[in-house]
Amino acid sequence: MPFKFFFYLIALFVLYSAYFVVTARNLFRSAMGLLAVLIGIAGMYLLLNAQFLSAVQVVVYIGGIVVLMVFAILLIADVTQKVFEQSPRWRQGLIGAASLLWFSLLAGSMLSYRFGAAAAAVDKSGSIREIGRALLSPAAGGYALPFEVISLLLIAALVGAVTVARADADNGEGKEGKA
Amino acid sequence: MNTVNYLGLLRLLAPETVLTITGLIVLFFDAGVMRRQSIPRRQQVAAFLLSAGAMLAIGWSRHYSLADPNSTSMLVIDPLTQLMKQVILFLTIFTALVSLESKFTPHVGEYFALLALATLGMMFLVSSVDLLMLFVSLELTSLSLYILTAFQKDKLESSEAALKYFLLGGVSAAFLLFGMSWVYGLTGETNLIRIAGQLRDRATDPVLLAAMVMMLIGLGFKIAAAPFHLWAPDVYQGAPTPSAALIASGSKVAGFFVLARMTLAGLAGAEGSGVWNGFAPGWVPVLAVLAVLSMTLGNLAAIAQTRVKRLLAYSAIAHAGYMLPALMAHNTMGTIALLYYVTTYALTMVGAFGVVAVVEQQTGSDAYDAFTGLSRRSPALAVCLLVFLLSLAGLPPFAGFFAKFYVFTAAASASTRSLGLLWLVILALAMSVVSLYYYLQLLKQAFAVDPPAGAKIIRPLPATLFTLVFLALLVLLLGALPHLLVNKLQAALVVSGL
Amino acid sequence: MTWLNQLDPTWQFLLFSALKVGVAVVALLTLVAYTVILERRLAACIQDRIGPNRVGPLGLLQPLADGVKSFLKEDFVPGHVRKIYFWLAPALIMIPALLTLAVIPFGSRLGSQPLVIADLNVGILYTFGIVSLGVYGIVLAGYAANSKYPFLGGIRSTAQMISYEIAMGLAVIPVFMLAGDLNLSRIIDYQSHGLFSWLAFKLPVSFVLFGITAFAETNRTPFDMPEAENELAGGYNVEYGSMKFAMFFMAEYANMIAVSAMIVTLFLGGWTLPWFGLDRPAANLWVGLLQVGIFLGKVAAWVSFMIWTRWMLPRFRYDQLMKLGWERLIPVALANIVGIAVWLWMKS
Repeated sequence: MPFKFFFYLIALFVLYSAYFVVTARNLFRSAMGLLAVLIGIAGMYLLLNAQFLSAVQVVVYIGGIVVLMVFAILLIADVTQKVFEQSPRWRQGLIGAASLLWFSLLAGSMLSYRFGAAAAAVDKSGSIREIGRALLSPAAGGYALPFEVISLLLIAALVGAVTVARADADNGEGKEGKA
Repeated sequence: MNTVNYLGLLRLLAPETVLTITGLIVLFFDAGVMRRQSIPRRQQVAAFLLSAGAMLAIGWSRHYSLADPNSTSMLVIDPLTQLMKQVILFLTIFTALVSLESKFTPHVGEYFALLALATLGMMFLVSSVDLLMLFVSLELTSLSLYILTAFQKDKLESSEAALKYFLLGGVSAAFLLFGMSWVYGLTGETNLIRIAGQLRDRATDPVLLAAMVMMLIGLGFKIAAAPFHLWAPDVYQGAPTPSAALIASGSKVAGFFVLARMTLAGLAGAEGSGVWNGFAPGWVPVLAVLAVLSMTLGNLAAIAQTRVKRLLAYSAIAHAGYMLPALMAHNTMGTIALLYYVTTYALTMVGAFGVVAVVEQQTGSDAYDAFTGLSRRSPALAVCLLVFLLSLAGLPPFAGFFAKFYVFTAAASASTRSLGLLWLVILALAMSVVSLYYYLQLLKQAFAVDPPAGAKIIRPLPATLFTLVFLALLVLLLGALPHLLVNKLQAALVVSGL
Repeated sequence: MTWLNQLDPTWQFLLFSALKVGVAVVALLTLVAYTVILERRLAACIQDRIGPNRVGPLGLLQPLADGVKSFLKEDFVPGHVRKIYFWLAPALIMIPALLTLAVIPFGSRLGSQPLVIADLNVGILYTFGIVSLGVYGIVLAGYAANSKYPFLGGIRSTAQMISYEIAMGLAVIPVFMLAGDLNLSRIIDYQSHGLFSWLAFKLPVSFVLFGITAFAETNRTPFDMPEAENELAGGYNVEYGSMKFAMFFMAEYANMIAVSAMIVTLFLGGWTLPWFGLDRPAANLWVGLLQVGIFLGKVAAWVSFMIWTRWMLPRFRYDQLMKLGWERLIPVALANIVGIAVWLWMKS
């Protein structure tokens, strides 16, 4: 049963951290909570024997995205000091009740279903070589197409980020926002 | 055809490829060559490049080979998808031409490139039959639209709208993805057709229902159906008007088409029933709830508006409500009605936003007061506005009338027993009457009230005026001869078998 | 030794892993101590001084004295710091260096035991993940200190780490393309066919890029912006004293050793030497030990090179640093990838 034990352990850790992210009243603490969530998820991948995914999760999210977030938070110095106000009690209660209702609906429907053995998905997480092949194969069962669409998505995000962040007076200030 | 290579893939997706290259050319040409020119000139060049690329893509999309269904399980290329892609490309061209009027950003190249990318997302969306592909292209569309919303940086409303759009969009994408992951967990498939095959015999499983509801929440956001409409008024209001035009038109077309694909193909067999006194769980009753809420809320809220873009937003919500019954009919006639409705509606909406863009640019506001005496200040614009609004209200002889007519007959005759969805149709008819009130309210302002002393004459650019008149004529033509489009849709639908 | 072979494989694995972990950690900490003295002596040589030479023969016991001194100092916590992060940061900063060692093969084998703690299939990706964790120690220290200089140090460090991590990752990609594997042991196998099969010779551009970014990732001069003692008075660790400061100090050297070990593994043939059959897995205990020695020798050479650079070069300005990272290294790295890909494609 060690698998089940670790699964629930990590799940609890992730859930608690996620709760912390949402409720922390300081942005920096939220970011640290998010870090914990992502580490937990990387652990979950490892538990499911998806080594590659786990490593990528660490490199991309923990080493890249959260660091960028922390960087942005530190640059906006005021935010690190600021403590956000909490919603009024009645609203918190309402949100809690709604979440609980939604959760019990989902959990109820989940529990009512008799899941068979693991779904008959092809296990492609085995080796990195296979992942690479699948990701770039244009034939049936390959993922070249979504892969390319994602690269378009990234172009859109890049162009958008630069446009939104850049000062409108087109010269001089443009160089600042590069880091 | 086992040896599908990249070249084959590119040939299959020639229109998309052309548009991708166009987008990049627009971006680099503007940044490189046009840097020192004036903004209107840059806009003209970029709009010209984009339109030329889109025209090329339209031309190319007419020559396609039916994709071997085994060659790529992600996409389907058939007459119907190509037709819808052409519609979307035309809408983009109109949007680009309408954009010429407004000066809201110095980042011209980026703006038009993002228009191309958003269109690209919609085109992929129309073609995708795979949950993965569907989600990715939906994100491409949404992300581009978020950015297009935020483009007017000197206006606080624009950023606020973009943030709201982004946050709510993110939540809805999470719902969609969560639902998809459940479906994948149930079936082990991401291809919609194969999913339908797997689900056929367990249509009323609570897990499937939960997954379905979550996916419908995600897509309901995309088509701005109540109660997932909260973003729409603010975004239509805050976004630069041409961006709002694309959000209201192209993204609507793609959204409804993908909703149709998801429900008719992917969830076939899990319809349930929305017949009065005979509800059964499935996606039809879920959509019925959305339809009722959208129609009522959209129309009633629209009455209270004092700004035209907000009015159009609430009427868009109402129109989403009118369109849903066509889907619920789930027969060929319903699908044709839906596609006819959404196409003509999108054309009308681009036109309406075009008029608003002109008025807003020259008077600085989109409040009702800005439209006072429009018939005196710019007769051509006023007539265009008249056509668009009456078409939206569903009066003959405009396209909107036949759209509503088809949808309502399809819905009413959907089920042979007990007149099917008649109760919804009655509600929709009642609500159409309500909608007439607020459209006429605006038209009264434009035609019957004298312009205030000293009000300027409004002179749109020739290109914009030409576009608007063309759109108005198109709306009139499709209203007078609806079979032009209907026959095409029917022929395409027979081949594709959606 | 027969009782060892009678144990069942799980226990054998656990026992040897624990042993390897223990030895590696102790060895790393010892090396750190002696890297410090090496740095001080080398710096002295370069500046025409003598350096520490009083404690023990040739000053070799100096690290011991430093350690004792650190422990005896008062562990002072300033009043204005954020306590939790203040305690967390020094603990966090040592972790990456220690974890990196887990996947680095520091020898071929001793007896039947391979000399690597965890022979991961995704070895390099793992090390990149770990290296990227290094930034959190510095950022947390900067944030926890709640005062200006450490804060600036933290900000600089995030910007620098992110920028150079991209170039570093891109620089390594050609290695995978040639070796066809992410597993570090395989990469060493690939380099065991003569001197010119070392990737430093096969991929000189990657090697140089990786070398440069390695300096940046370990915050060593000319990239020591986060510390920059003449502007920031030491940067992120200003508010720390006693053993907590010693942790930061040790972490810097531990990171140097870890990154040197990575360079040796990726580009300089790891534990192999192209002569006397030393590029094959060891047949007996003595050759095994010798190969560990070769590995350590190479690491020491690279560490010395890093130290030497520090005392020879001035520090970059912040804008120069960013410019170098984004406008020089990344384009070169990308061009390098494309070039290698085309070359491999032509060859096949």
